[in-house]
Amino acid sequence: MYSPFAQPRLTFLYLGAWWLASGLVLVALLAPQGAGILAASTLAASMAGLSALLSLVVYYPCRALPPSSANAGKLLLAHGAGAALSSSLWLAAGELLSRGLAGWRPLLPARMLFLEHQALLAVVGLLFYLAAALVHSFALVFEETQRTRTRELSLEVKARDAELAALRAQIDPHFLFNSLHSLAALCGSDPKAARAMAIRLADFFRARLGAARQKLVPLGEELELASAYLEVERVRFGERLSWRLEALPEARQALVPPLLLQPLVENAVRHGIAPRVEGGEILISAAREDTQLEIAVVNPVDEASPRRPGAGVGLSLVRDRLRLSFGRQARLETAAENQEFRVRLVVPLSGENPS
Amino acid sequence: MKVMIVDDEAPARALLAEYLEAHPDCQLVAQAAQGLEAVELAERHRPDLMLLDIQMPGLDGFEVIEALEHRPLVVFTTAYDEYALKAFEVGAVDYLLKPFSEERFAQAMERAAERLARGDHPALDSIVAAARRGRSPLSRVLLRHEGRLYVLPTERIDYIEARGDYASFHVGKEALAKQQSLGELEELLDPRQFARIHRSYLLNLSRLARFELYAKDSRVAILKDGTRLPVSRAGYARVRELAG
Repeated sequence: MYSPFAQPRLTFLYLGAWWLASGLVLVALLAPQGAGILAASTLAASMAGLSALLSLVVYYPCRALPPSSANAGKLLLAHGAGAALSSSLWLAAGELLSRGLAGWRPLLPARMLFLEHQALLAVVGLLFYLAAALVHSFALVFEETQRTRTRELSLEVKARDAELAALRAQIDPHFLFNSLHSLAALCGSDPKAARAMAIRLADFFRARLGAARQKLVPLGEELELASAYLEVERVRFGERLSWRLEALPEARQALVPPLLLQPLVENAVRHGIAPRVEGGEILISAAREDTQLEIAVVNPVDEASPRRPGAGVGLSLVRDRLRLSFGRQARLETAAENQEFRVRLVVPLSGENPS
Repeated sequence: MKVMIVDDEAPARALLAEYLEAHPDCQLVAQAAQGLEAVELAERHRPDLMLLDIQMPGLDGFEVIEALEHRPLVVFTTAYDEYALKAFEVGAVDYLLKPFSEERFAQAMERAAERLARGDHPALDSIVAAARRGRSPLSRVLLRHEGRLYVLPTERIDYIEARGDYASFHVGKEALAKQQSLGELEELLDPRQFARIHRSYLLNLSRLARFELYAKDSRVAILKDGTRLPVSRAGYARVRELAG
């Protein structure tokens, strides 16, 4: 919660500002009273100092009675009483102070000034109290709204995170069922191949579930996951599916959010290879350039075939993840030309990179 | 019973062939790995039963049914459960969800044998209509021309002309005919792509160059290649509305 005492620096700043502002008001009021500029300004400066100290104390009634929670009548009563008390205290202190000042002859007019204008000063004291109450209340309300907003924002981010995590953990059910069907088929005709397929599927699922739990993983692990996935799909698609991975070790070490690549690879199979009678090759490449990592997934497309359901979901998921992880520092671009679909990802290299 | 297998995945075809071995009254006459091949082989071998996958390259399972002139009984085999309703709409005998057991497969074969014995083929027109629905807006049209099957992407069509029971698809200098009403096509095609400019004409709007007034209140559409088509008043209003 806001408090002028939160930091000594803040307290001094507040005192200084209040002293200056109220001092100027007092000089403006007292200087024309014919007591001489020296007397007027000395009295103004010392009274302003007292006022600054008092205004700090006003923070406590404001905190006890925040404007958002109390009713207007109660507020008026409390602050009316507070203003009267504060103003009387200020005058009492002024009485002592002006007597002290009068001990030095040249400042005798200051004492006279004080005695002659006590009524004016009493009113000014009330107004100063109200001004201080306003300042503190505003600060309290402002800070409260800020806090609520921050809380709302962080809740929103958390909800988004949970949604993304759920999506990340999600495995395409058709992939699962088709793979199990292939597995069932192989059991009869080629038990060894069936065993190999079961192991590949297990490898893929283990890697996939593991990746969903990490915050950042080396790109190399992402590429291995992609390979495990493609190996399984290869059993179904046979000769129609081939792929190439091009990544130097330095690119493989770069850290990326897990499962960043996977939706792109699954898209390449589902929307690129599956609808094409002749199949084709998927190219996955990654390269490090200065402070960036560039990843590309390229697949052939059959422009004549209708779009299969689900196109675009994977891409928007990747876009969301990039925005959450890197803000505006990451880019995702797509291009379709010459029967080819190309997705290009550019992400900043994470500070936690080992190299 | 003559049986044909259509599936783009080799292991899935092998499994069906293996399951079929337990049915000595069935004879495997052909196997196809994609839609167009399936249509071709089915025309040649005239199977009584087709074991048909849905998601395939080339034509999908529903398009294969639509393209067939000789229509066999169909058992769908797929990993997708969302097509089940449509499968029965097109009169499928059964719908096998991958992976399926040999017992479940035998059950489907029994149903097929019963249907065949009864000579129970659902009305053809309703099947074709159902196969066409649910895929709208159409992104391609299947049609036969001089005995060959064509898959025509809708963006290649310039305009479609009504000719009696037939719709004539104009593509450049060629015209391909198909037995289908213009009204049905208008419903199936993307309304942002094709507009009914006249009782007898559906126009691909990307081909339109301009309208010309040739008599008071009556217009012709001039296409980019110079073709002139009549435009009805309602048709003109429709295009103006689309253009906003």
